[in-house]
Amino acid sequence: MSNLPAIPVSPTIEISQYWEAAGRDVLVVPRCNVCGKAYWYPRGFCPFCHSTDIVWEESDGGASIYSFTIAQRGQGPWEAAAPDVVAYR
Amino acid sequence: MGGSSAEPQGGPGGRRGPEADFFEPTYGATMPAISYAMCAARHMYQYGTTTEQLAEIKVAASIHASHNPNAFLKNVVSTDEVVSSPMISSPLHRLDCCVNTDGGGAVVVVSPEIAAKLNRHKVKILGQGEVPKNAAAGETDFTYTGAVWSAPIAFAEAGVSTNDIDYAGIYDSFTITVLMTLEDLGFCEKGQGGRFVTGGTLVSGSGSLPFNTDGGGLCSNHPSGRGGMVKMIEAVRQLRGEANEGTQVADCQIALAHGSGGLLGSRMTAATLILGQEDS
Repeated sequence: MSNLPAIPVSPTIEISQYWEAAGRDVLVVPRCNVCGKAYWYPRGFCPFCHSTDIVWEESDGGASIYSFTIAQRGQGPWEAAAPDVVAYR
Repeated sequence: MGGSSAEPQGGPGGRRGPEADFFEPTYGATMPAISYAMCAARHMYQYGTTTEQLAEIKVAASIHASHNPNAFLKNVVSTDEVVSSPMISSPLHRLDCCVNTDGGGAVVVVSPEIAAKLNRHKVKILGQGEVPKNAAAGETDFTYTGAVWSAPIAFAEAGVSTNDIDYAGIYDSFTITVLMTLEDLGFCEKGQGGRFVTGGTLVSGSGSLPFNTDGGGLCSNHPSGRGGMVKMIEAVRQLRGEANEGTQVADCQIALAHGSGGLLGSRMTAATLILGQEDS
């Protein structure tokens, strides 16, 4: 992964835990303690039930790919990284 | 999904916010083709749609563009040429993608009282529907567009069905955009878009549903973020009998124009407009 672009970030307090984990090369995904659903993108409240009672779960790196593409070009910092795979789960 | 995080680009579609400005481009989803390509890949996986079927849409557009002296791309292309053009973002090839041009337009909408005083072939707005579709907090379904909601609203207001549509202007950022929109507008069963477009269905004069007779975004022009405007203009031209020679639909009574904004694979809007002759 080290040859992929690293984008400078300006973490907000709301999702500081996401970026703190990312700084340790760990992907965390927010999950709602009330309705139980995980969601994306990271934010400090559940977009399904609006609860702020959330937990940041460490991803085990496994997932089922819903769709993907092999991009032959990209924009910005990703221009030099192409071809690269972008996927959705 | 424009630009880097350092310089968020909202773009004319109004794409702003954490996901569009940051969480997608940061992880490589930097250009629209990537989002639409993932829709196409999922459609192929789920419904068996083929790259040759997508190419049929570009071929039909190119036939129409060959009659348009103002089209950006005037040459008729074959399905072979489409599928052998360079890959941009799999499974979308270069010729699955629209052109990128300047352009613009305007429509004049007046009251019936004003319209009665105008010495011009008028067309009537029969129905319209507009909807947003959001990214569902990470549970986006790539296989349908907002047309599943905007079309029923527009058809109900107009009091017509898909069988009544003589001409369809469909926003065409990519071939897959047209295929999915045709399904969601109700011109064929969900998942059957590939079979529907095969065999020249969309070609004016010979096909059952002539579309984008100016050549559309795929061949004529694609003013960024304003693709719906040219769809309305060409629909009016068809109803007025003013389409380019070789593309005019015979006895065009009712036309549909459909625009979509944002990105099919994330946040999008959809707008369906049904227009008719003044006495319809």
